[in-house]
Amino acid sequence: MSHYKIIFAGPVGAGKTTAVTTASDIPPVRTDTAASDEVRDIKPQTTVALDYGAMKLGDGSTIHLYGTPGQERFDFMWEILTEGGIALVLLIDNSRGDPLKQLRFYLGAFSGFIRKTAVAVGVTHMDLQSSPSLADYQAELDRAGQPGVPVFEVDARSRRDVCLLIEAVLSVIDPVARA
Amino acid sequence: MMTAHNTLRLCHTGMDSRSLYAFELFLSRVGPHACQISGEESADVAFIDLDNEIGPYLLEGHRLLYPSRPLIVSARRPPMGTDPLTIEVAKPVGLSAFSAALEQVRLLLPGSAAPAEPARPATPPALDSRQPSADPISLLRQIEERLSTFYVGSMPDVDLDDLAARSAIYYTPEHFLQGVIARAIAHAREIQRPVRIDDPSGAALFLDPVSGLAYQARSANALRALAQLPTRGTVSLSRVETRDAPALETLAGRPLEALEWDVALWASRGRIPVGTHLDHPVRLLAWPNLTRLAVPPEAMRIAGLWSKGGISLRDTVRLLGVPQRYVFAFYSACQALGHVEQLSTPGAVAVARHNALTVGTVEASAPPMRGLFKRLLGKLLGARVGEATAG
Repeated sequence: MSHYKIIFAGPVGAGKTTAVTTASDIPPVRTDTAASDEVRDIKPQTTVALDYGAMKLGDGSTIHLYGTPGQERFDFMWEILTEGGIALVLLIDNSRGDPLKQLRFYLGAFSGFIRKTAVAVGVTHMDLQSSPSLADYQAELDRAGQPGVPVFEVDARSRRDVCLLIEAVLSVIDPVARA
Repeated sequence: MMTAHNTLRLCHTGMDSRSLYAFELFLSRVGPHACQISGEESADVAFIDLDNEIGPYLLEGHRLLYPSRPLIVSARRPPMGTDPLTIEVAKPVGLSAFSAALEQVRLLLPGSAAPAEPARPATPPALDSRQPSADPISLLRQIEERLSTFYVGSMPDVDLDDLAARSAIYYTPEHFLQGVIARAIAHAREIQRPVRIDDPSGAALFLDPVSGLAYQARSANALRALAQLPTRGTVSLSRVETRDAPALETLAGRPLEALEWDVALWASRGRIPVGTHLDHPVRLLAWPNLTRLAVPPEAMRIAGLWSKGGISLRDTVRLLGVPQRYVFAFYSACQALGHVEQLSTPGAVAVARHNALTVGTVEASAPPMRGLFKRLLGKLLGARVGEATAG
């Protein structure tokens, strides 16, 4: 049986767990644990292995949604999780740290996967912090040799937002495909 | 859809709160089940006061958006038009005249004994969810198409090789509210102060590029009507003065970018700015922020294609198999926000030509996951359209 996966990646607190939960048709499987390091300052629980959700399609097939752990010390999981993936949704928290640096980091970390598939970037928490702007993200992507990447403001709790991000990344891969 | 025996759903457009109150009182006397006020999308009939300052705009705008909807228009001197779907009532409007107009509307609606209305080729097909064989995805597509007329109009495709017919696909943004807003924003930046845009009824918009917010003093319907037709000198701009503060305090701000986007779509109505080349490749400089803007039909696929570069407008239509108005409206809105450019260097045009030659082979070399993508896109379309219709 085919195992089609969409991967949600990004730093701690960007909304990966929420996005997977929002898009999933089944109760998501989470591997949260109490944060014990600097992550505790950001949120009390954090993903240590993966988040899992699924979208059920009309013909009975399933798209599996995987959220990667945000902490870099779990980066060994990233390669495992992306195996067989069809697209990457990268979520960046605009309200913490240096979001453009985070963008560069994750583009680099997933560069092999992005080359084979495509990426869409969702910028979260822009209501809390409007800078950097989406234009700044676009400029950073251009500098990184990734022009044409969809970049949207996203509320990970909004099913519409998350679905639009997924739709965008699929449209980059195969714009001719139509529902 | 309502039947001849049900309560008519009536929307109104262009009334201020005082007129609306009087109108609702009037309706209550027409009859308890004769009609009820409804939203514009779900209405069986619209009522428009032609003597309103922007009445003619509202009439034309409504007719463009809802070509098959009966309209009741009131005026001191009705224009005696020839549109069979427009019922004119002379002012002062009496109960019997209005009731008679409603009866005429009932006869015009589907399900009545009246003859079918003349065919209007560009009108999207009416939804019929009662058909048991309706495929859910095609039903969703129909809903999307119906909703899309709000933004991209219903202009039919034209023969792009016919120079005379092709003139219909162009418009001049500067002649529309779109151009006035562009000038206003540039002016506001120059003088480093917010500006206001006035229509014949007074202040319609306040624009503040510094905060990135627009303040709208007109209803969405009135603004759309204003944006869809050439302004013909009826709109002016000036800087915001301290006397504008009380009016501004009562208005909620919205992103200026979203206003520019909507107004460009409304002005375009499925056309492209004059000077746009059909065969020069389009480069998408940045995706529009489609989670926070209206999503015109097929926008994702069009943007996805353009993100790869080297595809002209003509080939976009051909490759994606979508109505021209979808591509043209999306291009016009993207251009208004500075998200696209056309490449006109000989090399770029040559690449576009090469791409055009290979267009026919793309479907043949479909990626192996296209079937999966189609099913997944159907699911995503359901989430998007479902939310739009609920909203």
